Amino acid sequence: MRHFLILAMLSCTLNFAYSQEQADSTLTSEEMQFRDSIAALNISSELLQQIQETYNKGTEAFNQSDYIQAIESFKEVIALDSTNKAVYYNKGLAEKALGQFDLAVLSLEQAFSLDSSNTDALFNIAKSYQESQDRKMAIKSYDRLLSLDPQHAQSAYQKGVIYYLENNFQQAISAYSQAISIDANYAYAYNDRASCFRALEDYDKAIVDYRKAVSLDPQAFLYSNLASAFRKSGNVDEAITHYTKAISEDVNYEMAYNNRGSVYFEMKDYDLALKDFKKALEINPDYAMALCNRAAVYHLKENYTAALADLEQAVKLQPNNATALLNRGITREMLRNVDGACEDWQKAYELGILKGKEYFIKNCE
Amino acid sequence: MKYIFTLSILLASFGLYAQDVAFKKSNFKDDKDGLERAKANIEQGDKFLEEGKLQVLAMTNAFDKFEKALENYLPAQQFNPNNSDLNRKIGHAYLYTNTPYLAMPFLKTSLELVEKDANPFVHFLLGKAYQLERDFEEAEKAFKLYGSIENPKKFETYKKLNRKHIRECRSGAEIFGVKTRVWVDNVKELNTPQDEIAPSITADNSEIIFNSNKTGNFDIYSAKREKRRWVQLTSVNSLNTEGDDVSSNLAYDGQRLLLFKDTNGQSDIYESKLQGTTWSEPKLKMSKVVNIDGNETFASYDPQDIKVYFVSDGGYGGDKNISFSGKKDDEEKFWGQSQSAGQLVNTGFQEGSVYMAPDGNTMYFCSQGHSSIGGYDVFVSYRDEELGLWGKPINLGYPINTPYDELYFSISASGKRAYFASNRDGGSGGMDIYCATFWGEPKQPAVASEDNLIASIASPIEDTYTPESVEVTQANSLTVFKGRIIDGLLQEPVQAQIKIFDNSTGEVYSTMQSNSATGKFLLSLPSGLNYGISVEAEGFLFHSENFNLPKGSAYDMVNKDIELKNIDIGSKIALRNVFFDTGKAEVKIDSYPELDRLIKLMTDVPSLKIELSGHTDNIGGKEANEKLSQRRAQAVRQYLVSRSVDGGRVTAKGYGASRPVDTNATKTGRANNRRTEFEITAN
Repeated sequence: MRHFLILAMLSCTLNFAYSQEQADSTLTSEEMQFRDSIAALNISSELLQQIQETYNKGTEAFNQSDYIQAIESFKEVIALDSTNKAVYYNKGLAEKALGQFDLAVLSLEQAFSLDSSNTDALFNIAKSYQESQDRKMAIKSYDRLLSLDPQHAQSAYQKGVIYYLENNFQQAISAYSQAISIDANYAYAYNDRASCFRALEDYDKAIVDYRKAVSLDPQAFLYSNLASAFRKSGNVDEAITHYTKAISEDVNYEMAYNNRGSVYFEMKDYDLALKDFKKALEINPDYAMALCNRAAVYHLKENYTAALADLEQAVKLQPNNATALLNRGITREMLRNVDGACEDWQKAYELGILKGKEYFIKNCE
Repeated sequence: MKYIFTLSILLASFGLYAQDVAFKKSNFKDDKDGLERAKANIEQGDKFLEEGKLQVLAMTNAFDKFEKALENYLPAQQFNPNNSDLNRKIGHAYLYTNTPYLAMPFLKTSLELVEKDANPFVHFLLGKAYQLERDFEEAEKAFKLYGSIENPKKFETYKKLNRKHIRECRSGAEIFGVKTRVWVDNVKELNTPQDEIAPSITADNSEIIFNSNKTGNFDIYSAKREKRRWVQLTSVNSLNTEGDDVSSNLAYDGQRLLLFKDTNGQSDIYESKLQGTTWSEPKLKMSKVVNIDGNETFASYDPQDIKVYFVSDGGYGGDKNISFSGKKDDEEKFWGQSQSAGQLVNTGFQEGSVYMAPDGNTMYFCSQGHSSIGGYDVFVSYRDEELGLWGKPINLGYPINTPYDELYFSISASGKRAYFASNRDGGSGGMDIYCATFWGEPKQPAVASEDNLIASIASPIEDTYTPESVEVTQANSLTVFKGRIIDGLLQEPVQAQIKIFDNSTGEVYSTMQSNSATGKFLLSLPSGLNYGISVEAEGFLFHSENFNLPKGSAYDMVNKDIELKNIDIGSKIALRNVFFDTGKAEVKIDSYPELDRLIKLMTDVPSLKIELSGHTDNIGGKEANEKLSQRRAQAVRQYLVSRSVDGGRVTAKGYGASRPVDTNATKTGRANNRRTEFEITAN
């Protein structure tokens, strides 16, 4: 989620690059028109100067991520000149950055009504809906944009994301396919479509798409996804190979170590599994999942004290990690802490692991 | 007393450097009186020792004889700690008491004081002492040495025992090499320096009854389990008398108790019932035909409550064997002749106790024979379901069994925890109660992996891999169904009769009663049958439950209170044992016992009028569901009418899915919604 926000902010900043161009009176035609129109009225008027200064203050604040100040300044500009196209757009972006999606949509609609060529305004309207979890309106907004600009691959892609998150994989596949038909090199669209096939347990199709994604954009996480698809299809050797490729793309990709370790674990090669989990934890000592997995290996090697230490740490990091609790119960039992084990199993069950109930009933009388 | 023991051990150790000092005047010139007293003590002690020896050779316990021998020997030992014979005799006596681990130093001293001139019998005794210390190699050497140097005439007497002990040492060496997946713990909260014996638990391991002689003679005690500790330890006053009172088996539901009582010098089996909160006056269980001339002592119920298994010495050989007898009528007036539990179970040595596990096909018993590694060991035997015979006993292994005595065994329905008594070293003293916790199949820890499946959102999606532990499918795993039976209106406990039916035959599987003071009940149902359960109490409508447990169903525990409804207009009862094939409206034969209960109710209360209703879950079309439920309700009505219930008293209506009693979102919920119900419309 944290990444999501950063990413969202990043896209805001990127979009703002566009608005910054607008803010720079020397660079865009809109600005030129704006400047000219003011000039036409009264080039030396104090008003113009005031507007320009306020506008610049707003963009400055935006760049400093001080969105509240930015909005204040943009509002002042609007009070002085209610037909300013650029300022509505910028205000909308600032409001979106603050999570004030209703206001953002209003501002961006205003920007679009003043300038119907500003498809970015429409895209950000759709993103605002998407971020506010109003998926229906988001889809509607992306469709609106696609009807105006049928080549807007990103809109088709985002529709895919929304459908995917709704577990509506068939529609997600159509949307991603549309994005791919617009942009044949859209690696992310291939990846996401592959994830839909994976969810539908059609691993052959998933593998084809993931392969395409890595061939277009050899990123570590795309390799890792390809590996996981192989793993799910039962081809553990290919899974290991591709997790290893993910690692060679990014030697600090802890997730790939963790995943490869868990494949070794399934293959009962506990020494290699342990090595990978250890590496993942070397990269990120607070990686709860890897702690939990390393504990599983220690447990099977009957090193219960080491297993418990890892599980305690994992539970400390994530008190509601059901897998960690289930495993801690198993380890606690072997260390003769029956009360603690029973407590863990009960909680794991409450968090949704059925095995927790089974263990509780059988062992906690 | 304890002080004397310590002192004697201390002196025994000093003996290492001493020489054999005979009890004669020249050695004790200054204390003639003391010498006389000591000699008298030894003479008295020898009498008890000889009596004890005879009992050992007859394969019976003689704790008391050996204790009395020690009471006499120990003062003499204090007077003269350096006499080889006396040291041997003390070691000998200790070996057959409840503190056999105290024997070793005396035996070693006895040997060291005289070296080669030692009485050969000391090697036999040392063999036993080494065996207790789990040094099976040394023990076997000692037994063999005894066999080779003892006077052949004397050896003849001990030949059988000596051979048995050598066999035990070999079993021991073998069994100790096997890692058993069980923990054994001393149940400290129940034990005292005196003897605690015969622990027996309810099937859900929530109550225990056992015996202790902590006040001088054996009394019956009970305790309850809370948060996995035994609490509320109390003496069962209504059963305890001035003499020894010994219980042997608490029924699986905790409502009845088997015990034995000594009358006219012989023991017979009695039964007491829990009436409310008080245990009733014990009454002879089984007829005099079964409780024959010999002693009947430790006994066990069987889960169906048809037979009683017991230890008896009234058999042909006179040694203690396991027998059983079956009741011939529900009132228990007549019982069958006792029969042996089988030639694979009973040995020429002693069988000490017997316990039928709640599944009905597993028997735990204790024996000095078979592959015992010393003293009594716990064995398990499984019944061949086809032949009905008890199979070859299996030693439960270390750490449940040790070269000491392990006796009495009682296990919970889950198979997780068992209780037994042992006089092994390291306890609180004498016989102590131990708890065995079985690990079961290894629990496999889960591992997880994760992927960033959506490229534009860095939010990994987790995949947890929980390896299924490979459970050994026990054909006879159980479902425990327990709770309270209460008056639905007043919320007070009700004493009700609970009948368990085998729906496939309509026969009663077992019958029991809920407790009048608490309303508590507990049923343990072995997998392999479709059970119908009816709960009946006067003034209430009957209540029914269904447990369909196909063979191989896993252990489960269902905890549920049953509210009985009064015979009032508007009361509704679901008939859980009325069955139809999917989509069909023909009443299956399995349903007859349940419907016969309804017919009985209609006969008992002639003013009763009812509406029979059919209900479905929400799967399938509305119209189809309504039609099917209507046809089913009519089919049930038809059955009633065909069994002479006046048609005017019964209406039938199908409600489809319109009156759910549970959610339709889950499998269990939908199963609860599919039902036949009746409602009282007039009374």
